[in-house]
Amino acid sequence: MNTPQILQVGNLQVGFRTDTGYVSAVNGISFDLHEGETLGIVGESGSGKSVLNLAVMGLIPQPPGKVESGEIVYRGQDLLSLSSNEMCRIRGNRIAMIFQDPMTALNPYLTIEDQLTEVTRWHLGIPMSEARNRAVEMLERVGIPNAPKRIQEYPHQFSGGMRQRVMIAMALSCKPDILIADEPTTALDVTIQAQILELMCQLQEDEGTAIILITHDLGVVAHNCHRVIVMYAGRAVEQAETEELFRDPRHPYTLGLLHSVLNVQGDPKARLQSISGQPPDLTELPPGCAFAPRCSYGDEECNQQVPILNRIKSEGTFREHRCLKEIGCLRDKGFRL
Amino acid sequence: MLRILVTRLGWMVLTFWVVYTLTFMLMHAVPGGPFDSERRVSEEIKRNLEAKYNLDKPWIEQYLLMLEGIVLRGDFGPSIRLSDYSVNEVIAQGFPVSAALGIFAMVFALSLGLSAGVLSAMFRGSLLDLSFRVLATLGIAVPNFVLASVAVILFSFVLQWFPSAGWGSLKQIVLPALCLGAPFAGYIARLTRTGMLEVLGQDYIRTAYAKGLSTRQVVLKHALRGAMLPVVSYLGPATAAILTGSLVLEKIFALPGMGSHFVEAALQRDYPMAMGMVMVYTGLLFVMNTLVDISYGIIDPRVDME
Amino acid sequence: MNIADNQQNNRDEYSRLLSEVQKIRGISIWRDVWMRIRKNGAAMLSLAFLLVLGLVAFLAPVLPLQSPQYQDMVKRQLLAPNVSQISLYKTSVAEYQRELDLLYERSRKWSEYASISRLYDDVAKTRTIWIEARDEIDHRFSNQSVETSEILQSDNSVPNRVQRYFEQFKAKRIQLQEQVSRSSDGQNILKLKETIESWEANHPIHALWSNSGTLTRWMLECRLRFVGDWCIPSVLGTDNLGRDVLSRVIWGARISLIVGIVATLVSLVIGVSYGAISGYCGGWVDALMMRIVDVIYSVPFIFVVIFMITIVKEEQLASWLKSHGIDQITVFFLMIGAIYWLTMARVVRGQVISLKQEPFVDAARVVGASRIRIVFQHLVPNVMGVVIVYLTLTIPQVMRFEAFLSFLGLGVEPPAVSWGLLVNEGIQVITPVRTYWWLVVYPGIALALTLFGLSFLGDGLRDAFDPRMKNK
Repeated sequence: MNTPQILQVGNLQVGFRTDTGYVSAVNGISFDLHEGETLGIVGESGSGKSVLNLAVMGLIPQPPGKVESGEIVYRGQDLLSLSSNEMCRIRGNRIAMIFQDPMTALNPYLTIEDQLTEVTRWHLGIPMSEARNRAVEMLERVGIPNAPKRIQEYPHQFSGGMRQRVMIAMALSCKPDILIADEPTTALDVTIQAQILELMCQLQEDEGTAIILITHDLGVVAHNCHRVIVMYAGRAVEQAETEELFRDPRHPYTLGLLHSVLNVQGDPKARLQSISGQPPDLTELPPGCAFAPRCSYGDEECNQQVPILNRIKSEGTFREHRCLKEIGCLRDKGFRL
Repeated sequence: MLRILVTRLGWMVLTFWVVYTLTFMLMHAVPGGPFDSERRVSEEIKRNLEAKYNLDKPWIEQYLLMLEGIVLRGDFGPSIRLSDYSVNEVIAQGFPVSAALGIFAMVFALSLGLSAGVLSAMFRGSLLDLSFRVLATLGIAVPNFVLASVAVILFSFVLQWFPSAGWGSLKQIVLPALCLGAPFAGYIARLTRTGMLEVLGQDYIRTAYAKGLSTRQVVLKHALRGAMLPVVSYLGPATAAILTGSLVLEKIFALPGMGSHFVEAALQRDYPMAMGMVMVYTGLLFVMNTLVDISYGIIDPRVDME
Repeated sequence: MNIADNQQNNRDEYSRLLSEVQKIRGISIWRDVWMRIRKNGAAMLSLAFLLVLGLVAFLAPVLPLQSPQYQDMVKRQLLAPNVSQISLYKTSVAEYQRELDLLYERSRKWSEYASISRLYDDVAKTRTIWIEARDEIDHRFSNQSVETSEILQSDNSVPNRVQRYFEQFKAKRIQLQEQVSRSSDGQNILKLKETIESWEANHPIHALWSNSGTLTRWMLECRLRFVGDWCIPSVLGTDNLGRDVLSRVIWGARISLIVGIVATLVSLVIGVSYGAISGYCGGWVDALMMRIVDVIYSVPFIFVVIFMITIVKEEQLASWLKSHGIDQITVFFLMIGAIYWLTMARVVRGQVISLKQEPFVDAARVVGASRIRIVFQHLVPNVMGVVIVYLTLTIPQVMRFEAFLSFLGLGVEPPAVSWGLLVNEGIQVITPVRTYWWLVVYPGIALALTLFGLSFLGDGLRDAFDPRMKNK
């Protein structure tokens, strides 16, 4: 993307104190987000992708969580240095978020109208009547039929897909610069998933909103994202342009993920592969590469040494990966996990 | 809405009938009658007295006569113990006093309990939370008559701020209402705290924060409703408990409410009086429970009123 | 070939997955709860306090306490807390016990003692039965409303019964006489038995600790043998009858705790099963069961209780119950328990209904868990947290209710003591002129501390049970 940067995250560290010990949920992540860009973040459950974005929103529950170090710069302003009041002005206004489960993310005790108008009235200071018109307009834009009537209803009267549309309408009603979507389609039917993603893409085109799309669905990433960050055990193990990542993965974990996805064009008899083993216990990370115990490429060295970030620049863009082994174009060599 | 009320009314009639029958059976299951304890009553006078109160008739006739009086005329008949009064008069005099005491206590308990509970949950684990919880537990733990006697010693005898007994002025209602309301304030604070903690962990609270709302807005607009549901459903049983508690406080503070007649009527076999009291309390409880159900439906749109 | 190969691959794959899954170990919820509650200081402190309290209450007869019943209105009325050591009782109870023990010692020398003693007891027993029946008939005849002919009509009529009892008594007596005359030392044994009986009957222990059961009696004797008459001075003062407050508080703990626990357990059992059945069955069963609860909710139960108590306290019924081994305390438990189950039932029902629809129940069903396993392994532990919270709300309620009934003169009756009764007695003697504060304060503190402890323990348990609170 050749648009200006809008968000820079630098060496972010987030940890939680739990009964079983200290969990380093996000461990030194850096990335940039450009205007109008869609950045995908993929990884298994517990890889820290949700925590990363809650940190950007300033919603890490404290205690037990804490942003240990790093910076989150939005339009030249470090969000971590803002007071909670100043942060409230940005949250929901300039940076909005939608959540995984639309069934529980809406307040069951308030009407859709209450929940929609509250954002615009609070952030934009507009009167109720205007806020209501705007809310109806937003609902129509996200494709809710009969919006003027349905706005009076309660969340339980909406289906899951409709609720997610309401969530999107709510998140976009202040025309934010950044929309963080935390697995927005995971809890929905497959057919609805496509509709919701399409809606988000269309709104992004109209408004020029940058989107951070958190998902574990590589298909979603392939179709919607410009860049992708692959996370594993709190670290970004690979970052690249989407096309490049799929064509030429440099980290064994990325490769593993790609192999575990059904390929329609490939050999119909080919077996899907799974990555063996379990994600590591975040309270006791191995001293070396966190993926080493599950990696068929790993050796003694990987177990001892944390791999540094390799950054490769090319034609105005760059890619990064964290692996000691220069495995290059693994697929070309016929590598199989 | 109308259908709900009609159904409710049906249940109310049924409840009244069940309670009436149960009370009647219980009263007459107790051996002995109202005139047994009075030594110097000759057989003839006793027989006359029994005739006056229909006690000489068979049970089933007594049952129907009393029911008839209540249903057709709303009249419980004359009191046996207080020979110059009818039960209706006694209720008419005592009810406003008991009701005022109960309402004052409830308002006090709700306002204190809700705010303490909310603050406790918001500052979970802080010194404020701890002290509120200790206070709430204290309120629940100390029986109200202990609280009342300590209060009388302290505020009436030592500090002389409030009178120790009597009825009529606002000053006289303060101590009994506070003592009556204290345990309920404690319960409500506990329930609110628990409910609040539960609600604050919900996804929609995270959504509300993600919208950029301040903590105050999130708590008051988004969290309080859900957190209040357990409190609302507690109000039904709380009414019953306040009725019970007022018996003791009316005794300690010598208030002219219904409470004093309550126990006496049962102990001294004042059948019409006991029946009157039971029916009044049943009615109160029923109305309160209905109100609770209705407000539950108002607060939580998911509850189907039918 | 290819297919076989594939199958082999599949098998390897599945066995690998299986072994992987088997490596993941869950912790049972109870161990998890225990591990978490151990870290909660207030809860552990409360648990320790309650355990100690329970132990002290249980061991009250062994402890060197004064008698909770011994009155001395002349010298010991309303003494402030003090530590002056005084010998209380006119005769030494320990001395008496020692003498009695010596008599028993002597009895053991005769091998026939046991059988003669048993016969002697039988004679006494049959005699009592006979006397009672005879008194009853006297009473009936003095009551003119009963016709004599009516009494004599049936074969099982009272006079015939009296006759029969008398025959039984006579037979036993003859048996005893025969046994005594057969034995060489018969007369001596009989004499010793009579002596022991009269000593037992006159034992000061009856006056000082009346109504004690077998275990309590045995514990009291142990205390007299080992500690003797010495007892702790009235460090908490004495009441208006000169009774020691300390020993009354500790003896009162026994009843207060038992009322609280047993009545709550009764309500728990009724409430949880009622609520679980209602919630699990759903449909019209649920609707009907909840309607019943609604109707009962609308009954002012305090009235029912007062009626019930007046019924139970009625002499004839009380003695009838007693003869069937049911004392007032038991009736008390059942009654309070039967009142407090309503809320529990509602709460459990609500929980079960919402849990029934949770995905984890479907998940359990999918992997083939049985119905019983689903209920006890998945539903019950999840309901447990809420149930415990309501238990901690119910135990104080029950204990306060007992105190409330005592206040109205309907609760535990002297010589039994409970904290509620003690506080109530203290309140009776409060006057504007002079407040005997120790009478209210110490039982009040005991009550409040116990309820405090229960409450903090309950809170700790709640946090430990609630998985959502796990990492907060």
